[in-house]
Amino acid sequence: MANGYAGKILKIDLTTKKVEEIPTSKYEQWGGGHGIGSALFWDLCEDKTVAGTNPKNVVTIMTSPLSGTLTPTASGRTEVQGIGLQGYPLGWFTRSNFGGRFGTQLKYAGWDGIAVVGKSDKPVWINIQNGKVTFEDAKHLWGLDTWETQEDIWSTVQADVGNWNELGATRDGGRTTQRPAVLTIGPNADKYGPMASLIHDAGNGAGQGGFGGVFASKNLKAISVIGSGGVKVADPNALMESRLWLQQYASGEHQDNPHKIPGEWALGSPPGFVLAPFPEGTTTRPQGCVGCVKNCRSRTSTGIGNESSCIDVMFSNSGVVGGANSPMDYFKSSDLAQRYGLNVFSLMGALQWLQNLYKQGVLGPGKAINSSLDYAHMGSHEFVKSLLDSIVHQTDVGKDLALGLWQCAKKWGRLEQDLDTGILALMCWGYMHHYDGRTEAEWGYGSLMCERDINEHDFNWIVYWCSTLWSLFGYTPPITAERMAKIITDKMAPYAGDMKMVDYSDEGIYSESMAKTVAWHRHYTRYYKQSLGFCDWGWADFVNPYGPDFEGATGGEPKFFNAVTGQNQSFEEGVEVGRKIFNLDRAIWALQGRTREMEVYAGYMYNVGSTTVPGAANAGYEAPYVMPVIEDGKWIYKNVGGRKADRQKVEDWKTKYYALEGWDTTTGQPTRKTLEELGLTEVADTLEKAGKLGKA
Amino acid sequence: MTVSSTIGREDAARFARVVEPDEQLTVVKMAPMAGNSLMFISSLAGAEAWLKPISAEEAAGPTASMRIHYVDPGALASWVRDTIGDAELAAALDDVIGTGNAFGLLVPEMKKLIADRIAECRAVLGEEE
Repeated sequence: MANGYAGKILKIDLTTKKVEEIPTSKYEQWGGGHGIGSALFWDLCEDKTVAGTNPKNVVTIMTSPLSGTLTPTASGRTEVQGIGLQGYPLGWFTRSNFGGRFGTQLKYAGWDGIAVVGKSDKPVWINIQNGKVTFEDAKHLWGLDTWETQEDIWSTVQADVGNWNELGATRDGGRTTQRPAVLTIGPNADKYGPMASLIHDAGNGAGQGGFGGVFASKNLKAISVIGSGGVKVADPNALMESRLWLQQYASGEHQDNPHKIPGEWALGSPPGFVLAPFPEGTTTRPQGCVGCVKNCRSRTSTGIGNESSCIDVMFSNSGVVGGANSPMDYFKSSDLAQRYGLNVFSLMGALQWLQNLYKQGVLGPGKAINSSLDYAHMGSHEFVKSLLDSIVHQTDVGKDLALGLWQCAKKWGRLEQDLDTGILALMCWGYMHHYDGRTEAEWGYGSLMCERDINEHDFNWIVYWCSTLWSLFGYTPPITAERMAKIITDKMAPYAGDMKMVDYSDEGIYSESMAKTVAWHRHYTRYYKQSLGFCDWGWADFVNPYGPDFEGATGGEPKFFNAVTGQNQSFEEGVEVGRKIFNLDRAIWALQGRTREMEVYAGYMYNVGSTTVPGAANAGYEAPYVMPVIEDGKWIYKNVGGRKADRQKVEDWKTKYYALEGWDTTTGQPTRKTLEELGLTEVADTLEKAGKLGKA
Repeated sequence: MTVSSTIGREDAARFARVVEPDEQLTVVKMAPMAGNSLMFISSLAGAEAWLKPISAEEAAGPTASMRIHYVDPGALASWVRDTIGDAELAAALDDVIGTGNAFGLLVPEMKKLIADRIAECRAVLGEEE
């Protein structure tokens, strides 16, 4: 067993009700998490062109070698992969990710990950206690919500939750005071699969992709795991030294002297921040994933809103009339979405779209889309509850929304027109518009070259949020645009040194330099964030107010990997592993039918400016979008909001990007030369046999 | 800067009304990580409530929890002029916007102008605060 790894992966065959151990050593070259997940999927999924609900679909749930160790902000994330249900025009091989305790418990139980294959003939849940794995009847759990399900399983696994519990038949079989970590789906999630999440504890969710629906299609209600082991660390002293090194970059180290520089920093943002205004009288304490120093969520004195943050809390704002709903409404709605196991990003999209249809007089009682929901009170918890109930119970508009957003629009005969105008703001692949690809190019292109909204904030924190906050409130930027560009691009090995990589001007976003940015981002995140588990809230740490002359910690990620595994991997070598992983993903998409022609934004991205559509959903981006740009040869911060994507220029950019990645510029498919260079000859052979191999 | 004219009962009722859904003003709640959420304003009172001056705490330091109630200042003035029908208030807002100050610095002044007009409407209509 190599250090950091448990040494084995659990293969669960739901059809035969048999389990098998796969040696992790076979996959260690992929790092962990996403990398191993993609490789496992490649090996285990015999037909990668099937739908996500097909029993042949394979779902992987992977940890990293850093999971369960004292690596800060990288110990608690778990990666989920498989063919999803949410994507357009097909589910695509996709990914999601969640935090909490699950990955750690899995490692402590002696497993690096799980691969779920087949389909059970009846509802089951999986009970993992160290090395013992059993299939349990889940018939009585199928209609329960995610919290009820977890409580039921906790009481089943442990008679005395909170006290010492023996996990083995003998005295030395292992003991723990932990309660099992349970990953589960909402009530009857098979009925609203594309909208369904995986939920763990109160508010950890793998929302995007529709993996709740994939679980349901396999008759799998939940996976519970509890372990009493540990993770072997190669060099504990080096790990502690790395923690101390990183501590200087973390806001938590500077509580007595917090910086006074407004902005949204990665590691440098304060821990334990309440991410939405709690009702008066509610007190909170920070809560986070195992090993985290940021603790981005809260536990509340009221018990309402526990562990929900960010979009979990904000989604119910969307489409609100008259200003704002009440703080308590945020959290009640958030809790309901968690209990139902619904994807809050899709709910946000639904709310914006429904509001627009209502305003246009298309939706409502007796209208073309007949609905009796009280749209005049969107945002109230009562309205949100009625909408979520309608999805879960397939009533009113919910019976169509349960199909998924783009699927619902198609059924209503509105897909093309609402994507063209932007009142249904699904930027690409059927995923809700999050950050604007017309302005923040790395986010848009990154999503387009993948299969979902990338949801990666490393550039976003600094190039958009910091720049925009400084502008909105008249702050003097603490660093110049040129200095920001220099810090960021110096960290982007192997492309370091090309400062134009963060030029977000009208010309810059179509440049070869921007192609390098997207390539670097895809490779960095595939490895460091999605395979090793470095959290999106902390990494990449480009610019940090506590770092030397504002330089962040990125570049130092290998300190932790090497301390835990005993390897000697450089930062650039890690990025190269990410390139290999991304090319494998790309090969899977090629097999699924991905073509260059499919890699286009929704119509509104080309048709309308980001700030000029009264009443349109994408007017949600009617906010300044201040970014670093080069203008007349000088670096400045400039509001680039308002521009459209130029269809031909996007196409030209794609050609540059494909060429940089070593793919066929006509089809976007990986070439044999590139795949072989990455050691993926077998993948090239498979693509060739399927007629999906790019031409050199 | 103030709104100085005396308004009649008819104007007061018009300015204080709740507009139809297709006349609402689009505003944006900006939230780091979650992105930006679309919201709608139906009245001058709603606009006044929407505008939130930056707090001293936010002005001083770290802003990871910032929630910015954004409205395009020009769009607000246009909506007041064209939809609400209050040309005088719109002109006063334009004067504030014309200073060229950053959005955050415009907010307190725009909010006060709208609040004053709402108070005036209420006085004319005999409504209690």
